[in-house]
Amino acid sequence: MSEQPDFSIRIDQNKYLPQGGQEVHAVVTVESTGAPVGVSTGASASEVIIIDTSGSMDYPRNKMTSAIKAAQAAVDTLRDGVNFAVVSGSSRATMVYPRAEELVPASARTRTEAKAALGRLTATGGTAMGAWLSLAGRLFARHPDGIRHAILLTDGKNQHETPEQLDQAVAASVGRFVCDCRGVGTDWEVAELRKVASALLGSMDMVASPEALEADFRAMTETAMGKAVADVALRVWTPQNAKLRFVKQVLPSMEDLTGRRTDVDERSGDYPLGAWGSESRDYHVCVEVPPGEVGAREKRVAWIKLMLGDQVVASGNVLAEWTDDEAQSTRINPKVAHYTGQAELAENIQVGLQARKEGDLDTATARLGRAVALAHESGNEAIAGLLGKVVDVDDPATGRVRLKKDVDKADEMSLDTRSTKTVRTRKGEG
Amino acid sequence: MATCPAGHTSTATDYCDVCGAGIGEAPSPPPASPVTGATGERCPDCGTPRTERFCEDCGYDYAVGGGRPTPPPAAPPPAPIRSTGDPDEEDPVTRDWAPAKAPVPEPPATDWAAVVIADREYHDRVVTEGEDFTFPPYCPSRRIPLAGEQVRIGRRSVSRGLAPEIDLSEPPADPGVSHTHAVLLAKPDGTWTVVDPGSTNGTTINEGDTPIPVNVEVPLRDGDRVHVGVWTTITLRRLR
Repeated sequence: MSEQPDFSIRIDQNKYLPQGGQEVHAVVTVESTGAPVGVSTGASASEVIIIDTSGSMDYPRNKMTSAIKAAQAAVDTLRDGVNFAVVSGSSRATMVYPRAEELVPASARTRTEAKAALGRLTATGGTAMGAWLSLAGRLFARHPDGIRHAILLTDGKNQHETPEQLDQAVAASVGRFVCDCRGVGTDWEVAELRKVASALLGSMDMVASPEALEADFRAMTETAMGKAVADVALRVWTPQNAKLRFVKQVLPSMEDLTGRRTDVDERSGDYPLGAWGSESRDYHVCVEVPPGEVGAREKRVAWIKLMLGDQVVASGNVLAEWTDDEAQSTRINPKVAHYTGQAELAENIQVGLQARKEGDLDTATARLGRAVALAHESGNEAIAGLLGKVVDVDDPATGRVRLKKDVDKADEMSLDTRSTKTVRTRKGEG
Repeated sequence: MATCPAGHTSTATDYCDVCGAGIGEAPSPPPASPVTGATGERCPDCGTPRTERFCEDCGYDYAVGGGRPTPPPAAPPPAPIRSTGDPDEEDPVTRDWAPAKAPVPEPPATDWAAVVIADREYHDRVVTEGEDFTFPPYCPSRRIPLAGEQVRIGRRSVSRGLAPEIDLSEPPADPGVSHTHAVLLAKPDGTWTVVDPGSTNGTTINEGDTPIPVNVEVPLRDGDRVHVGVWTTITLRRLR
């Protein structure tokens, strides 16, 4: 079809284990270069924009007008030939453009028509995201190849269908398309949207002010259209009698992929990674193996391959060697240490905020304090800044903090939303 | 093709396909380590030379003298009757090296079997307008003899170490089935009951609309139909 990007895999680990050691940790960096950026990549692409038109979008009125403007900006970003549709969501999902349940190729004419149809939208009815996702799934069904990307914008909780209905719709959409989710205002549920975005391999973020939507939508479609290949998977082989403890994406955000495995054969399984452009992501892999013999040759305990369909486009080895030299076996690889800290950071924020909500102020202070220390230590400035809006920091290094009395709901939600966003190790480490 | 130090055949020539051991340039023989019984001892189960506490090949635990049930010489376990043998079928025992698993005697088969089908009528009844669970165009029916004290209905999960006897993750996998969705329990009088330990989507019986209560045994008779997921109907059959 076209130029594919060049993929590479790099493994960071300490392969030395002490006598009797069983757990091997490694950070796998997958990087692609040479992908044609922006316009006219080779892969065919489909885009569905889902815009919440529930009644609440009218309060304040500028929410609806900003959402419409944002969706129009997204439509403008679609390059010619991309198959697209716009869907409006309330208690049901409705086609905005085109009228029929199908995708149409983008052109000057269809873009203008779609923007005009968006301009006529009014806000009424409830919120049933499962129904919206199901309609998107049906639209993508006729375009199974290439990049399939949806944007879901909402301002409220999923109230007009049961959590089970949403779960089913999400489960049915897995692997059919990638979905970036955005919450606007402060009346939506972070956990609910995280569930959707995470299952559908998309990003989740909060747009505190409706005015910021337009730039965000434009960025999302640009990123989606910049993907050069769809449906990349990480294939992990482990030796017999080994146990793959977990596979987590750790950059650009924390995402546990362990449960997403599809077995390939007795010793290998695939973890779907979605679409790739020119980018780099890190994964933390942990394998448990029966202890080997001190002094024996190194062993391969995981063979990591990047799969594009049936094609292996890059591979790397996680190794293990047992030694009685403690200086070697006790060293922790800096990258592994860094991402272990980032996972702890995300967990502390989520637990701390929950405790704060429930009135358990001691736990909240302890957890958020630990989060401040971790953010400081790892140089995660973005998270440190957001934490500073929820707690007063006395000493960032030790994590001594005091909970703020009055916290803006939007600040709290954006900290929760972004708690899983990670940073690379600082220069010179790892 | 290469052969690794443990004797496995491997397509990869750097590290063994099976155990990951390095292949090629013969390494200097490892120094004998005090904890290992590097005395030429061999695994009583598979004959692989001993290196460490666990057998490299089958996971036999030398410390407790177990870890891999020795297969009984008698008849093979009752297997689903399918048109083709599946060479990739996993042995849940050999892949799990967790130590000290006591050998489990093969349970006797009973007079009952479960017939598993993708049921179009059930599917049309539970999948409402707007949901997108396409009924699988090809789904052979399977007959699974009921054996032992309990027969689990669910989806296989390597990460959780689950291998239900009625595995609905075989393609076309039913997307509405929980990992452990329901369990069939053998009663002393030779009949069976079904219990739903708390599946996500519930279990219904004989075209019922209301899911059976969680953790309550419901007796089953010959011909009763158990519905799970979005298209699976399991019919109990008494053979004799």
